[in-house]
Amino acid sequence: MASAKDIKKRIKGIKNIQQITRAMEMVAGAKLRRAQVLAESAKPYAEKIQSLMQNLGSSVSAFEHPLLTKRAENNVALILVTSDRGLCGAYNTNLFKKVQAYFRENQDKKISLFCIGKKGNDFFKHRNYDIRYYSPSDNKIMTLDKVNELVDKMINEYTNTFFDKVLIVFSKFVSVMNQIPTERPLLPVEKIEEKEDRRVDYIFEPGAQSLLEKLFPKYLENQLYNAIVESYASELAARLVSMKNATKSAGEMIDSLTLTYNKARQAGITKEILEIISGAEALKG
Amino acid sequence: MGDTGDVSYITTQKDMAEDKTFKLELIIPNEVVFSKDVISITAPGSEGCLGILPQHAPLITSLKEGQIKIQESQKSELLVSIREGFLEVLNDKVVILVDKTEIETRASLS
Repeated sequence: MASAKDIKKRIKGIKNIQQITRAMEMVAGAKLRRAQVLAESAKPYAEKIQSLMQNLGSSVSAFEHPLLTKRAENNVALILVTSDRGLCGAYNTNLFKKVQAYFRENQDKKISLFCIGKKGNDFFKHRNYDIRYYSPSDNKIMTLDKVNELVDKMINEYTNTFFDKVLIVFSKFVSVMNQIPTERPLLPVEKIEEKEDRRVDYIFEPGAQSLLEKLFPKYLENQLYNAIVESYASELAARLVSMKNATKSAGEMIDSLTLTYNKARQAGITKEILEIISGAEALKG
Repeated sequence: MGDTGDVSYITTQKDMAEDKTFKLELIIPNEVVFSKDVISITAPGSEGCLGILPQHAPLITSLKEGQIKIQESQKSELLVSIREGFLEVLNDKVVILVDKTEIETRASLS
């Protein structure tokens, strides 16, 4: 059995760890609330741009556009949104699994990776995947302008048939306890069907077709932006939960170690008393 | 007698006309910048400058870079710089979607 002193040292160490995890839990909680507000305030724009797409899409029925045409999927671009930092449970690992599964299922295709987030970049770089783009996912670095830049590049490469399909892999925020790694097609643009009863006769200025052409990039930019915002909330939720669990396990460990420590101390005292008594007995005799 | 009645009728009509407003929402990707009842707006449409008053017909148009003039009340006016975007009018509600906005001046007309 370890000596009482060693156990005490371990207890102290674990207490330090617990303090850190508890602080991280609290920070993640505060940041998560802010991220949820951010996701919430991004909604009006997304909803409106969606309804504009519907209205315009239904007014131009037979519409041919390079971004709408489906091609044989030989070259696929995969935009992976991960976190920059670790200690967020299985958040990144789940995303990696999703991407690796996609690679396995589509071995006949040429897949290029576009990484947003340091963790994803590190993981796939280490395994020698073809990474075409990397940016940290920190929202101070991955600003709206940069998102737009990336999407414009995607549109350009799609139009020039460098890619036949563009996918986003990100973490969908369902609740604090539940985040689902999701893949969502970005290009070609999927036509949104409109319900008939909501139809309004708009005046389009200029024509609906050229409006739609202008709307496409904005719509796609918004799709990617939303995926990033949602992933950020998911990351913080995952971190909050995993840090909560870590604090709890640390507490349990401290409890059991304290018990062992007390036992060791008791054993030490008993041994000492025994030695004194037996020494006294020997002197008597 | 009848005339005075008519006059008062006209003035109330006029007062109502002055108070006529419609809802304007100015939205950028990460927030709703402006959401208020306004009297009129002037926006830089891609096909030329367009002014919008209450009861405008449903319209969807693109906007080019420029300034939107928002008449909030008889007394105050707001100038907002935008990059390109979109404008939708439906049921006396105007929604403007743009990338970035910059509220320039809050001119007060006495």
